[in-house]
Order: sequence, then structure tokens, then C-alpha cells
Amino acid sequence: MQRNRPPSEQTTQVLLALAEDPAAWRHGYDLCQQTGLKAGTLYPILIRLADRGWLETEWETEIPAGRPPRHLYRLTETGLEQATVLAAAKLQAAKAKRVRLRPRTEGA
Amino acid sequence: MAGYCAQIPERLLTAAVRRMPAERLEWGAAMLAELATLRQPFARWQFVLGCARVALFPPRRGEFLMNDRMKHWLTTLGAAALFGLLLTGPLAFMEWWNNSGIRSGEFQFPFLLFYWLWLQPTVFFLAAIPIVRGLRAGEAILAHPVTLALRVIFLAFVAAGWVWVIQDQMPCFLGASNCD
Repeated sequence: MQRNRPPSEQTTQVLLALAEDPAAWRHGYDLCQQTGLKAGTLYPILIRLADRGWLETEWETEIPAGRPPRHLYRLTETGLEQATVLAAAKLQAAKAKRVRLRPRTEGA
Repeated sequence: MAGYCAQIPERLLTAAVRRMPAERLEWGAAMLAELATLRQPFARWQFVLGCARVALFPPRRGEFLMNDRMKHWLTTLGAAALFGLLLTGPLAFMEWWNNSGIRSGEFQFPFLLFYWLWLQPTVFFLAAIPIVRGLRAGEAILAHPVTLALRVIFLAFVAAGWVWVIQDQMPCFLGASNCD
């Protein structure tokens, strides 16, 4: 039985970063820089997302001379759906926090 | 020489990637390919150290994607157990050191007592940690007043119980004769 736990903050960050331009293929270091995550955190997340079928992977086809082809990543449809759900949840949580933190003016 | 030094990160990562299980080798190759695009020594080393850890301990297939919560709970449980051990360990040592009867095997070591003495601070830690985490996350201390009150009563009860047992047993820890 597969359990559905809410994704960690870092996984959410990666999903949202990939969802910014879902059609674009991204590479690992680029995602590290965008999310601020270290490679040691990012790659396990990418591996698990791919295992889950949320991430599509491909090897670069146009390779500049002098370096090996890079591994590229983008969200699958399921991954994109999950990212959309997470983005909505994050927005809702941020709104709720703003409401909680708003100072009371009544009776002041 | 400089060229050789520049290749050290690559060599390290290659060695780590060789140890990866077959089904994860593609990811090892991906990390090596990414490393080949980095030029700055600091960025290369930082990248290699993170990737080497992943290469040596890659996520297992079938592992749950969102296991962070489980890891978080295991860490909290471990920290609580350690907290209990730090508070109880010295007392257990005193009991053993000051009672020649225990050391000579004449009397049995009171494991049950020390299990109880360890359990109380462990439970205390587990009950207190949500309050600490809430405060560190910027939550107002009175955000959930009823839960907080119940928790504080429980914590006080556990702490008082622990102190009472310590007070009661202190003569035994100090090696007094005829103590029980």
C-alpha cells in the first residue's frame, strides 16, 4: 500500500521550480542554484520524483565538444498536477498565516 | 600538478559512483556530467561532496517518496532517548559504583528502576518538543491555550514524579547501607 505523506519543504521547492516552466528541460546544477538546495539534497529528491513517475528524464542530444551529455529533467503530467496542488496549498497556508499575524484593530 | 589537483573532485565522485547499484548508475553518470560543466573550484568541491554522499547512500527503490516525516520522528525519538540517557546514566553509574553488593553480584542491578527513571525524561522531552518547535517557528505561545495548559500540566506531573523518585532513591545511589 502506498502512503501519501505531504511532501517535504525541499521537495515542494523542487516541484515548484520545475513547474515554473513545465515545458523546459532543466539540469541538476541549474535547479540547485534556483532552489538554493545542495546537490546532496537535490539529487535524492530528483531520484524519488523520477521513481514516482513525477519526473521525466532525458540525456542531452546536442552536446558541445569537451564534455559529456547532461541529464535533463522536467515534470510529467502527474508531477505537474502535484505541483499545482502544492502551489495552491502553499498559497492558502501563506494567506492563513497573514490573517493570523494581522494585528487586531478592534477596540484599540 | 595543478591539473592533477583540479581532477581530484572528478576522481572522488567517479570512485563513489562506481559503488552505486546498477539501477542507480544513470544518476551517477548524471552527476558526473553535471560536474564536468562546473569550473569554479569551490562550486566543484561543494557539488562533489553532496553527490558523493548520494552515490554512497542512494535512495533505495521502493522507498517512500515522502519519508522525511518518518526520519523526523526517528530523530526526535532518538534525541528524546538520548536526553533520558544523559539524565539517568550518571545515576545508574552512581548506583553501580557505590554499591559493592551490586558489583560483587550479591544484589541484582535495579534495571526496572532505571528503565522508569529513563522513561520519564524521555516522555518529558517528547511532550515538550512541540512547544519548543512552535515557538521556534514563530507561533505565539498562547496560540492553542487549552493544549498548552494540558501539556504543561502533564510536563509538571512527569517532572515532579521523576524528582520524587530521585529524592527517594538518592541514598541508594550514594551507597547508603540498608536502602531499598
